[in-house]
Amino acid sequence: MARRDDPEFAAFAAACAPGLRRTAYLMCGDWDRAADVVQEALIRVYLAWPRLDQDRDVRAYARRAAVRVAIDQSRRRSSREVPTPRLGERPVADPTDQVADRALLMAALADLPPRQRACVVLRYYEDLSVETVAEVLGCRTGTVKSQTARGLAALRVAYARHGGELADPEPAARTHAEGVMP
Amino acid sequence: MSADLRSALRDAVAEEPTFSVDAAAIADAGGRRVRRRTRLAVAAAALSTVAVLAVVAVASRPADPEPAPAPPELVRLDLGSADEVPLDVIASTRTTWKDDGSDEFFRHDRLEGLTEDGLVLRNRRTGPSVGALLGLLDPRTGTTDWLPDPPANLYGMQPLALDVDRLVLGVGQGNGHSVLVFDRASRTWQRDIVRIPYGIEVHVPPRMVLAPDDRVYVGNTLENQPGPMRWWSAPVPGGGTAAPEPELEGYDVVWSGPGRIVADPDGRVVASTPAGETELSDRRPDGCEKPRAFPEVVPTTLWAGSHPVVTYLCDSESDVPGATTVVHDPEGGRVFEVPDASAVAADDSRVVLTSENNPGAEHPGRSSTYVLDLDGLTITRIGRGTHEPQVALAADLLLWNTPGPTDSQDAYDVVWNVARLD
Repeated sequence: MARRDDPEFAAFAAACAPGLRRTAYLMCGDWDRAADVVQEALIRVYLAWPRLDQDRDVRAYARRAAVRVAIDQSRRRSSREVPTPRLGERPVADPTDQVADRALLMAALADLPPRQRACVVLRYYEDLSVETVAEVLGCRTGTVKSQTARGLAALRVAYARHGGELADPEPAARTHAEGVMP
Repeated sequence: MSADLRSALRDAVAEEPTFSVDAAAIADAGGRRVRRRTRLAVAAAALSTVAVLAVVAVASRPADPEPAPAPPELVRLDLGSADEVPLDVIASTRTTWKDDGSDEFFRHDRLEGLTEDGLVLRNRRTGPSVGALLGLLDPRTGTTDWLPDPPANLYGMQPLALDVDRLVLGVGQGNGHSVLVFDRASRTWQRDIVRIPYGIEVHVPPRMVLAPDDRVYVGNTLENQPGPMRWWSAPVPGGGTAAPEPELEGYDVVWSGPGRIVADPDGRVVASTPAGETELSDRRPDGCEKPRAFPEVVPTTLWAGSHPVVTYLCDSESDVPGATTVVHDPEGGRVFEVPDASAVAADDSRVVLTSENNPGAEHPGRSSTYVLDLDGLTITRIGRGTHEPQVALAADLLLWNTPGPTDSQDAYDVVWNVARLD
């Protein structure tokens, strides 16, 4: 059993924090808040560190902790979240298109309930299977399927409202995502 | 502007600001949390809490599961502070009959449960010479898709899993049990007989639970004994003579995905997940003594998302008579304790509670029904107490029931409602 002061924890934290923060950012829309989420998640990992299987469980535990912290925090802050400025008319085609695309995506994500947002991020950013997402969120696979479908439908509506179109996601191109951080 | 979602998500994080994690600061924060083990908790003002209780010190025992990684704050909630919020009922059925010996007893129209995709399992019988029909009611349109005749009498039916692709129902009591599985795609039924050894209590419906490995677990006490709870299990499909599950003796058990909770009458609650086992509690809630007549009655357990929810029956002479519900956090966060409340259903973030203490209430409904929102940290009273066991949460819908306007000692009158919660 590992001790909490094991240097391996520091190495693990340094290695996985960037990926966790990217996932947390997609779930909360704010890089600073995403860093807070990672901090809290890693504290939970630290507390559980002695009883985690370092080869098997620790990354999954960290991901689960981060997602659950992000869900909790986003729910508490949802009434205050203003992730982007108001979107105007469809932007002209120039380098700012990419900025507008990001703004549109983050605005659309911000409109999703936290668990729908988590399902979308975990399925299509982390490329996790339905079963793994269910494990992360602590729910049934059917719930993941229905929440993901609702989230995608809401995203399509949000894109259409701003003159855009969201293509149907292809099946996951990667199959190795279950055990790694993006 | 057409976007591929995967590409858009990756583009959105492509220009991340620099970031480094301070492992030493994390270790310091974690250490402080561990040392808080013996401190008093603070009340959660947003919850209108009524008391600040001592932190539950979760004692570790050698060879037992790891204790919770951080000491939980214990917050007691008061149902009396709940605001009343009437819900928007979108579907309803009602069953009435007078206790006069007529065949009205054989007529009913009730709602049994909610599927994961937001349909309502409806159970209707129109008279003594016909069997009950099951249907899936779409509460948005009011239409019911009646299913082919089920292959068994539905007496004592319990929904075990109402999934997108199948409905799993347990029926029967005593020594004969059936598990009915309806394949929603092929619209076909399958029936498995599960045989339990003679000697178990036949007058009380058993506890039936479907495990993620598709074994049905049947729990009950032995005939004429107050306890302990005993369990048997059998595969579905397959059935046959159920195998005893001695390691579960004296516990209630429930699964959610890969997670499992067991809870015993002494207040020991253990959550098992792929990351390991965690002992969340080793004692009953303060002021909730075991019922003297049934000291081995097990608590009832539910999962509310990742939160184990445990309801204890309390002796009528306890400081807290009736029942107390405890909502645990397996990550070591706050623990909520709700006196005078039984948890009867839960989804990922909500728990339906009924109050037990019912002085002066009309026969036989409980006094009130509440929804505890674990994310918004609110309790709302949604109306009178339930009359029947059918209560469910799924797909942002709530199914519950209340005594109807003519319900009395001489007349049965129950209304089942479905409301949207989002």
